[in-house]
Amino acid sequence: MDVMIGVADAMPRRPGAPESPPGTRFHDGVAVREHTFRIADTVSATIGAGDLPVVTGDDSAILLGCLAGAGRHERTGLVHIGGGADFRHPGNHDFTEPGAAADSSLALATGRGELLLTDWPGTLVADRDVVRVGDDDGTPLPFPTIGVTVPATTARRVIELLPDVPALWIHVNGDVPGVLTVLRETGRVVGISITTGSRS
Amino acid sequence: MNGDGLFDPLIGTWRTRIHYLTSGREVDGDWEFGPALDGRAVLDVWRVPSATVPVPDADREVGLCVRIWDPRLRLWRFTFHSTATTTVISMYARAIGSEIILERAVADRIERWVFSSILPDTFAWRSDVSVRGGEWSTVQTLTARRT
Repeated sequence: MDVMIGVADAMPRRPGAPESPPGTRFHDGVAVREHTFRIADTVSATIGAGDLPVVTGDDSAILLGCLAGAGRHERTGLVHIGGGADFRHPGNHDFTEPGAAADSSLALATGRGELLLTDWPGTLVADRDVVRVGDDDGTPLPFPTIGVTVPATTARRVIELLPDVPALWIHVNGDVPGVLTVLRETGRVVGISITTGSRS
Repeated sequence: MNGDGLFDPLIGTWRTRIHYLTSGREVDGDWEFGPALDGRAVLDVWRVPSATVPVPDADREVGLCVRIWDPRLRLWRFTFHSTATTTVISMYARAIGSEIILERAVADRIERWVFSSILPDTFAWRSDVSVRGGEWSTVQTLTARRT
C-alpha cells in the first residue's frame, strides 16, 4: 500500500532576511540535518513494512531524508522530475550570501557541498544512479537530463539509463502527469517524494 | 565515553610543533584535552607559543576549544574561543575514514581542521581551505607528541 508521509510543516520557515547559523551558509542547514534523520527513520520503517512511502512537502530538502531512509535497505537510484535542478554547490554558485538547502538539494544528495548536509551514514545516491527529467535550466549536470515528450517514452528512457540499480526513488518537484505511472510499473519504485515547488 | 567517543584518544597533554605554510613560521605549542560536563563534552586549551617559551602575555595565544556531541544532528558541535583575537569559530565535526574532520562554511570558502594519524602518543593536524569549490589547499600543519 502507499503510505503518505506529510512533512510540509517539518522544515523551518524563517520570515524576513534569513541569517545562517555559525559554520554553515544554509540558513536552514542545522534544522534540515535534524529533519533529514527524522524523515529517514519514517521512510525506512515504511519500506521495511513492505509499504510505499509517499512523502509530501513544500521544500525540496526533504529529498535528503527520503534517500537516506531508502538507502538503508539497498542501493537506490534517483529519478528527479520537474522544477529546477536544485544543483547549487560551491563549484557553480556564489555562496557569499546565505541560501536555502532546497536550492542545493540535488547537489547535496550527490555529495557536493558542506559536511553538515553531505556527511551521512552511507552515500545517499551516486551520480551514476541519477537521471533528471525536466527542462534544461542551463545548469551543467553530471548525470543525464531528459525532457518530457510522451510520458511513456520518457519513462522508458529513464529505465534504459538506470538499468541495474535495484531500487528507485522518484522525487517530483512539480507535476509531470503520466511518467510516474509507467515508472511504478517497473516494480522497482521504493518511494516517492513530492514537493509543491513553492519553496523550490 | 564522550558522545561517540570521537575525541577520547586525544585526552591528555601534548607538545605541538606548528608550521604556518603561508608565512613559513614554525613554533612550539601546548595542547591540553580533558573530559567535561559529566562526560558530555571535551574541552581543550590551545597555547602558542608553548608555556615554556618566554614571550609577553600579549604575544601568546591561549584559546579554548569546546567540543559537544549533538545526538540530534549526529555531529560534534565545535567552538574555538580565541583570547588573542577575541574571535569565535564554529564548526561541525565527524569521523571520515581514519580522520576527524571539523568543517565550517563561510562566505566563498569551506575550511577544514583535520586530525589524522592518531596514535597513542602522537597525532597530526592540518588546516585546509577550499575556495569556490576548488581544490583543497593546506595552510597550516601540526605534529603532536604526548607529554
